[in-house]
Amino acid sequence: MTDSLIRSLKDAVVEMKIDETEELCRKCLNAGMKPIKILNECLIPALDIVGGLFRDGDYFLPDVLMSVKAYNNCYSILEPLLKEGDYKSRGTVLLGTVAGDIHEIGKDILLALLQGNGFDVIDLGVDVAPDTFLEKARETNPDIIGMSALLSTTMVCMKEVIDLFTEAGIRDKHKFIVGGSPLSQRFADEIGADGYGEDAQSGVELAKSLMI
Amino acid sequence: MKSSKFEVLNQQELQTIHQHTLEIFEATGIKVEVKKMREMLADAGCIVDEKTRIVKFPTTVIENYVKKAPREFILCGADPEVQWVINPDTRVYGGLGTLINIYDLETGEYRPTTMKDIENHTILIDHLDYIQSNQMDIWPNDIPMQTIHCETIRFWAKNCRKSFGMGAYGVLATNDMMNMVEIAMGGKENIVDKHPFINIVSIQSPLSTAQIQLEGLMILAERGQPALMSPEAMAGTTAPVTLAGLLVQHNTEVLAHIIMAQVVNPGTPVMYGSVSTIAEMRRGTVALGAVETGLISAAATQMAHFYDIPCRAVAGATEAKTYDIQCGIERQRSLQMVAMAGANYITCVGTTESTTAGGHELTVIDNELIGMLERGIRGIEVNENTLALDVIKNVGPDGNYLMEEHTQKHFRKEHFIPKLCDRDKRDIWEKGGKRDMAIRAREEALKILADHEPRDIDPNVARELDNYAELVANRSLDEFYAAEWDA
Repeated sequence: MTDSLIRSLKDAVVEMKIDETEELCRKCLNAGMKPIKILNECLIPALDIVGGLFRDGDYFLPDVLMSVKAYNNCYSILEPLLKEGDYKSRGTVLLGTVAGDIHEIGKDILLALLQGNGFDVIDLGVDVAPDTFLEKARETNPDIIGMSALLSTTMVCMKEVIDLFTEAGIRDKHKFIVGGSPLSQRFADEIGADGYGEDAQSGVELAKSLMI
Repeated sequence: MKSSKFEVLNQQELQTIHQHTLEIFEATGIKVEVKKMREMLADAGCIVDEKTRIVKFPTTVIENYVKKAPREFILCGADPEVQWVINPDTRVYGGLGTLINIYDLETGEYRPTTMKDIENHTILIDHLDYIQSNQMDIWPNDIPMQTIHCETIRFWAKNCRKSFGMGAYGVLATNDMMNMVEIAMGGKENIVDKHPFINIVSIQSPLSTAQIQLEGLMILAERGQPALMSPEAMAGTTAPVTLAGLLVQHNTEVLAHIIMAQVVNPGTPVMYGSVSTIAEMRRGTVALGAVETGLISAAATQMAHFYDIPCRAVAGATEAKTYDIQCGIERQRSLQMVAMAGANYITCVGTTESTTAGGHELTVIDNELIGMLERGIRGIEVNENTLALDVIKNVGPDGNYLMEEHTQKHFRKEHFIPKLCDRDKRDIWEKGGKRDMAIRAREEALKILADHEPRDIDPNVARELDNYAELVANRSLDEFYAAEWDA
């Protein structure tokens, strides 16, 4: 019974059946399954399958994002029920599009993919001033700080953010990753970032590698 | 709506070409190189001059017999469940060209074609989504000429679910082909209502016939199998230099062959073909990649549909020698013009050098190109769902559509998703080894070939095919010549 429920829920996440996932998740709980078991044996493996389908070219961004949405719906049901220490996120990421720039689609894709890969993500939105990055970082102590820009005129702002952290003496407490259309690895190296992602998927791989 | 058709002639111009065709038929006639055919045409009401072999066609004969050609027939694959309707409103794509040289898929070396090449090509066609037919796409240099038809049909039957075809090469070979197709399909009754094999009948321009091709046509007609009438008149050498003049001559040649098929056996499925083009005026050679070839093919399509007959047109052809920009421009332009004109059986994917050379990479690339063109022809669907008013309202200013269910539900149908076109950022492309489209196509072709498994066919059928191929292999070339009829 529980095995078939687990399988159905896993399939529903992979197949992007958002409405069914919530119902199936509640059914699993009603059947007496532990929240951590649902998470570990069903939801996370489902996202691994989705990741594989994406890598193989069978799934595209809208598919992955729908699956992540289904995952998030279930996770929000399970979260209050998880015991302290039961579940450890892969890491915390603070994301924002830098000051002067309001292009957030790339950042939003990365956000969803990071969530789908077990990261906790704090989204600062767009047009984020260097001070705000510093303030929020002190508040939430993220492992990684991700900055994006679409305009070549705003990408210079990324250096200001990193410099500000250096002045404050907390540069090495966080890993800085950058991304966006006009950027390159060279630019990332020049401003002293810890990593650069060409697209959202590479951003996820980068975040994972920085957590090891 | 669907994208509008590409047309180059108006109704009155179509009528004019038709009227002038009737005049050429009556005043000049065409040369018919088979005695038996001349006798049948005389019985049908034509005026035959035995000495010159010229046959003149009165208008009544033309009108009576052209309308006997069916509007539609069913094309099927070696797997009879795989079927396509061929009529003036449908569209399929195929190879055709008889390459004699090819770029080796593994080494990139330019070399003579082999039996292995046509085997690989047949496998690729089996797997490529947008190509439905092989024709005599590759001419192998490494096996005796008189066995090519049997070897290729045998391989096709064992490996490809889609359709096949060759040239109508005289009495004995055409009968061989039909016999082997009957064996492959499990008996002659299985190719009456649907046809897995299309024969191309080459026409000798201006206004003549090639003896062995005409004999082949007569055999096909006797057996009720589809024939594709295909002049390759060249404006400036074998046809008037003006395109309208070429069309009159071309139309006469095609209709004459359609009429002959219907005289032999009324109702024989036919296609109005066109490989006509312009001559290269410095050397007198062919120019299939010329923009005028697209115009001629579009006009031929309109003429075919004027008679309510499906049209085969040449496209994807180029005079380029390598996979260069000319190669890309000419194949794309001709495929687009011909597909948008509404031709119904479009050849010659995978070719270069006026269809005498080519490469497997190009077949894979043409497949993707056809996918894009078909998406273009499908046009823009406008309805409540595609107008997405609710979604626009929901997302609102500053939102994004990527996470909307509407996006996930529709993107695969609304967007053509290319396999070979590179849309990555430069960094990713560089990391991936800076591969260009030809290299990506080569990898795709190699993958298809590695994954292919032969069809699971009845062992008795396989044995019969093997026996027939052996019988032909033991025949001498002289026996083929001896089987020809009187000219």
